[in-house]
Amino acid sequence: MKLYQIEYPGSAPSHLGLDTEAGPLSEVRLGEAGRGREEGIIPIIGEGPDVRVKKTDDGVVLVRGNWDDEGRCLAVINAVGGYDRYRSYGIFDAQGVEAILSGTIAFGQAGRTNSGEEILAIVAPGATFRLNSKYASTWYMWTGTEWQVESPEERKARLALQKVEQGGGEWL
Amino acid sequence: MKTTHIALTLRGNSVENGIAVNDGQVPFNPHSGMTRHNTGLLASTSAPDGNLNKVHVAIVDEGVVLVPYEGEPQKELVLVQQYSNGSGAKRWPSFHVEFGSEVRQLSDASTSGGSGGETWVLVSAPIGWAENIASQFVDERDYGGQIISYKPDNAGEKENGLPRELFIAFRGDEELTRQFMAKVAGLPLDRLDDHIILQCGRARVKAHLEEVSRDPDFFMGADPNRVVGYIADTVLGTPVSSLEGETETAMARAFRKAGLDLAN
Repeated sequence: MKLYQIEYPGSAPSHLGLDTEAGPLSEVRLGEAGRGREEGIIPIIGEGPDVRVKKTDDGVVLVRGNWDDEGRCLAVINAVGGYDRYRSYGIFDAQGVEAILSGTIAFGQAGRTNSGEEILAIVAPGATFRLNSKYASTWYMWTGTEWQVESPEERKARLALQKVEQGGGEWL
Repeated sequence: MKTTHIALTLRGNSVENGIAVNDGQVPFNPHSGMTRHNTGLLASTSAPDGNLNKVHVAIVDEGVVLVPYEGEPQKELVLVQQYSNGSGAKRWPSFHVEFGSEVRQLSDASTSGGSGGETWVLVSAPIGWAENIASQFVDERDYGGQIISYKPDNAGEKENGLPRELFIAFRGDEELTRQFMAKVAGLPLDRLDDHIILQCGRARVKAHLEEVSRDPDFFMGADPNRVVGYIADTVLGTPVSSLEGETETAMARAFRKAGLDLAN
């Protein structure tokens, strides 16, 4: 599976290279360390262009190799937008998203003003989910080969057109 | 059964043919306010960018779909652009519509935050609805915001025979307008100073007429500069406009007294 990262709600998913100029990526970190927070660390071992998740009794490991995963991908999804006391942050309306491990990102010294998750997930082809940023919402869809990012209005417009083209709806 | 709608865009007292389409959607492009939150979908269409003029309208769970169609329209599809002006134009009236049972509201989009705000509503309405609303809106500075409802028997008739300048000065209040007309009719002609009325500025006109009428609320909230033309016309029989260009303006006189000659 290819590894992608959504750095913050609303951002386009980017491919996370396993080999960097500083050397091979050795781990993926989720969340934050500190009070009211939770940090998850996932080691990456082996060689190869793709990764697969292996669960052990002690945690999760990403194993590199030449894996054929039928369109699935791995994604590090940060669901926490800018600080807002009452904004709800999370992964909403998710379909085809299997969370493997999560960390917690929070605001304030005690981490109690607001918080949300950053997760590592296996994303199946056709999977969709929605993230809230401070002011807006964004829909994400993994087609099996690429990501599609839409605002709720764009998504509704596309679905409405599809439905009418298929003969649905009420004519005025 | 599909009803052909003629597409119109209504904003204040302006009705334009067509509804703009961009990138498969009826875009929400407000003139004031901010759109940082999700604004709402007005309508989607498979038509290319440009203007939609006649359409069939379909409603699905996700929203409104417009399909271009050429035919005799039986109804109007109106994009109503309601607005409250921002601080740069706060003396101009806001425009809002009270939607009655004669229309069906299909979708809306709103601004969130910022100076001023707009809410656009897409409605299916009877033929002539948009023109009726537009004809009732008075787009005059200081007139005050208006919430307009559909009045099929009263299109455009607002003043009821009253002078329009006074009607606007009293923000459409017929009773105040009539009261003011009565006050003007009762002014003592022999005590009026036509120089002050015709040539002085707002403050002197106000002070003079309040003194002469012995009524500290002579103007009843109206701007003296807006109603002085009516006083000059009806009491003095001299239109203010007839003096323009013939006499020195108050500003020019002030400059002259200060030793400045504007002519050189």
